[in-house]
Amino acid sequence: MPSVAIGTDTDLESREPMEIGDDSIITATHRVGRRIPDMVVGDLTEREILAMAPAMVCDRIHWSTLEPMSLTALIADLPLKARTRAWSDGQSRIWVDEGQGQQARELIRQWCEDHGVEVMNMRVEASVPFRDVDSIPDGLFGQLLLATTDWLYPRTYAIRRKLVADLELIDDDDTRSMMYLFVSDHADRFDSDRIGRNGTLNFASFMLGKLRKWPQDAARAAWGRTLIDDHMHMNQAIDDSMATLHRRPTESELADRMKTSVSDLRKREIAVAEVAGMRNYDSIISGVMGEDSGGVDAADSVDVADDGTSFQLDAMLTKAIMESVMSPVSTRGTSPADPMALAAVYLSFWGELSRQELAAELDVLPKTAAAAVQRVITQVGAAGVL
Amino acid sequence: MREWVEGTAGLQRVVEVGLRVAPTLACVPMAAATISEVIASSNEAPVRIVGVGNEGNRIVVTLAVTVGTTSDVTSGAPVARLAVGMVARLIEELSAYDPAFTALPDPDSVDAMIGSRVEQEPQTLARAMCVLAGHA
Repeated sequence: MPSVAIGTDTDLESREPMEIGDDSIITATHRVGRRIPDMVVGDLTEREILAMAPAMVCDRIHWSTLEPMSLTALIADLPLKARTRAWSDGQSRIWVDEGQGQQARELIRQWCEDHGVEVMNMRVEASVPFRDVDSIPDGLFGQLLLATTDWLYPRTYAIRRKLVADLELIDDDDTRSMMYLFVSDHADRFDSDRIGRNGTLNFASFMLGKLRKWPQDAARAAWGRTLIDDHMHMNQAIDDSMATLHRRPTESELADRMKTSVSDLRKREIAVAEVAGMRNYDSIISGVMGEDSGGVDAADSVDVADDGTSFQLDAMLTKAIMESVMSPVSTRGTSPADPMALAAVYLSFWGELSRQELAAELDVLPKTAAAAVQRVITQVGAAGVL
Repeated sequence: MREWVEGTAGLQRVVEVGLRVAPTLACVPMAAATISEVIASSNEAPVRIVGVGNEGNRIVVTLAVTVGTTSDVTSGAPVARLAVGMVARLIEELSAYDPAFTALPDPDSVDAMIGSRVEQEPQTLARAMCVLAGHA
């Protein structure tokens, strides 16, 4: 098995000086950046590996089934030249030569009927780029995927954080394997011949571009496109308002910005809140909340004021927060008390300020305010109160 | 939660935290005395009663503790540290009545109006709390 090495291949400078001789590039936002290196597996560059599966233009037939089906048997029976490749989503995909997509769909549909396979949502996408990467020998492609993931993983912290924050049941430990699968899934559409302002695109650059929309795509797959789009548009409208008015928009202003009615906006907000509430830090506030509270965990039929234990739970939480605020970890100077941590936590959870609003309120950087909040939450969590 | 005060550097925002004390109906007289005593002995930072009301089987007194101006808070000034220490002491001394952080009441709410009329004297607070306990 060839060893995996990652980095710029200096030998390539003599072969393709136009592409990697100069490390600096002009980015899409007109800034000077550094070129992402070509991956190297053993003695082979990514270009040499991918040349074993040249890019083609194909029609793709894509469908779902109730039960897993054998695409190998299907392809063997098709009178057309067809190729398949497994994606991590478990859906069935077959690529045929360009122009044969509709014909192939009917043949596949007929084959499925003959074999008692129930298909759903079968569709054809015409003229898509495709590489038959499974034809690359000696496990080289798997090692290229691994090398690319190793390079991308430490450089995509913000993307990974967003993925973990947005999606229930995904933890930090899951993101590396998920990224490998993401890279694997999208590898077959890599078109190394496309020429941009900085020359041809290499594999890691292509994947980095795809990864930027990974959290949004994953959230859309999990919660539905409409809900996530509403979430994004609301956040965008609030950010725009904060930038121009220096305050949160009123309901009517937000509805105007989203070009909808206030009643419709409220419906969307409730739906979005149910999703956002999955990982909303506000959930640490238990028990009695104001009537206008936006909490989504308590059902309307539950009168939390009658819940005697809620007072004790809130008191325990408050005590834990104060112990964290007064802990030696927060010592700055002679007194252990940390007023910044207390103010940040209080204004976040009981003042209901967003991170940006909190930073503006305290006149500090958002990351400073967030770090103060996070430190307290971590200590309170470690104390087992949450 | 926040108000403006005039300081040496002009008008500055002040950070206040709300603290809810929730004695049960049975211990209202003792709680009123304790709260008044604790407030009277709190010299490190301003404390005021901003709400008095009832929730379920509890009488709820909401206190607002001024931690300091935003610049004092973010710089960790001694005056702000003293205020935080006082919040911790309040929570400790009122621990029998489940003290907890809470949002400050809406100024137009009934609780806030009662709170604004309660002077920080044992009899006044006790009277308001006992009246509420009788109707709770």
